[in-house]
Amino acid sequence: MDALLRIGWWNTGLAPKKGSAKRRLRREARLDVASEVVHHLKQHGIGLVAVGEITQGALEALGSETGYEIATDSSMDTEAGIGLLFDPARVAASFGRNAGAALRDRDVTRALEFELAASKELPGITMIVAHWPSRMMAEAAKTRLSLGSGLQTIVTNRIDFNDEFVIVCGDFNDEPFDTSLTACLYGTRDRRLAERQRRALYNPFWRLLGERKTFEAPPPHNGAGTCIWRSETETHWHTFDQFLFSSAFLRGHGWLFVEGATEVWDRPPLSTNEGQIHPEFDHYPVVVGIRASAIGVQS
Amino acid sequence: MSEDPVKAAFRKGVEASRRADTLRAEAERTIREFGDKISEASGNTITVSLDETWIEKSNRLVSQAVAGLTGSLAPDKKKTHAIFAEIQGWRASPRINLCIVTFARDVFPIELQWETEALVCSDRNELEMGLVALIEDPRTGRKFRELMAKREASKELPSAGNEGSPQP
Repeated sequence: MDALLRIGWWNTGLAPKKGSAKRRLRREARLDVASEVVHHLKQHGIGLVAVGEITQGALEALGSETGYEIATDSSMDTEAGIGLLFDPARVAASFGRNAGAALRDRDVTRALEFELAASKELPGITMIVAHWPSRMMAEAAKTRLSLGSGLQTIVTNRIDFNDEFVIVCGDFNDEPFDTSLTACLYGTRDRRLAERQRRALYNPFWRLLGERKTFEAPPPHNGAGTCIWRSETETHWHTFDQFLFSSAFLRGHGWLFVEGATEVWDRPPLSTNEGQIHPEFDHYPVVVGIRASAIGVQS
Repeated sequence: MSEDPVKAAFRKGVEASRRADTLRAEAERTIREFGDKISEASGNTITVSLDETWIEKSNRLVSQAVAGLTGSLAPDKKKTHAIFAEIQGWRASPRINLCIVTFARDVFPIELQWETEALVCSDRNELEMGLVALIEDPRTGRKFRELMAKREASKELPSAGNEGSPQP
């Protein structure tokens, strides 16, 4: 097994939208591009890609076209639209649970829990993949706070049951500094704090909030986040796509978070050299890395 | 003048404990009332109640390795709670685990976990909704049906010498 396991998350935008045959055609064209992106990720050794805004059909199509195996809730509703693509030579993955919150007027599934295993010698990993409701609806802000608190409860309960290695990732529709991610989910920019506090989650995406490339000369490279929202005035870019890691990943017994592998995958065919994102997509994949470092296990 | 931090912490802890007791009683009452409604809905066939249970810890490899180094092994089970369903008034009734209930330190949020679902409830209203979601699930419905079928089957057995059958 390659010692470095690279894991990605991508909001593909491939979920169905009501509309015309023209839109349906665009969806098929988008699926072709998405397939190329996923193929590219596999070629670069990404062992597992969590995907959002996807249908069962699109997930199966991406799997069969790229050679990844898939895992999801077979009764997945399109609202959650989450699945995993994984390379069994690097990691095995299976669906665990729908992780939801009972909110005032309904119960909402906005996260799926998966179990990952890389080898018999290494501890398993609980991976929770979330897609929280959009900022387009003002009332969703409160929902995201509730989902953050609910997810923190689930993370704490898993850690209490000895599942120390917990990864939370997805499109939160909030920035790393927003209350849902900090006060509710206990995401922190502070590695030392995350290492000491069992319930805290280290969020490496604090380091990716701004422009990724330094300005040298015009035209400015365009890429100050993981997703673009072209209609906004304050900033078109947001860092809504994130990974957070439980404390155990910073201690070095079993799995170790490899911060240098963190990357916004702004590469062709999704991106041009100037950093323009493909017009049919609004999210880049994000990629992180972890390394095996169990006691008695060679890395 | 600000209060001495030790005295303030003492007072805070006592108040938090009192609040937790109140919330725990409220949560248990909610589950009891839920059980009463299930009993009514099932024609007094099924009893639903909260009880302690033990579930296996994952015992992930790293915990064992660390425990081995420190000379102690982590216990492989953890005490928690579950909601059970059984046939009313039948001592030999099978006891079916409907969902695991994990209380937080401050009681809420409570996690309900069944089959492929994990639902977090942050207060009494959400707990009521979570319990409704539990019984709306066809997999829970199947468990109730199985219990009711067992009760029906037991009625067909001769009553003499059948100590395990449900009492009217």
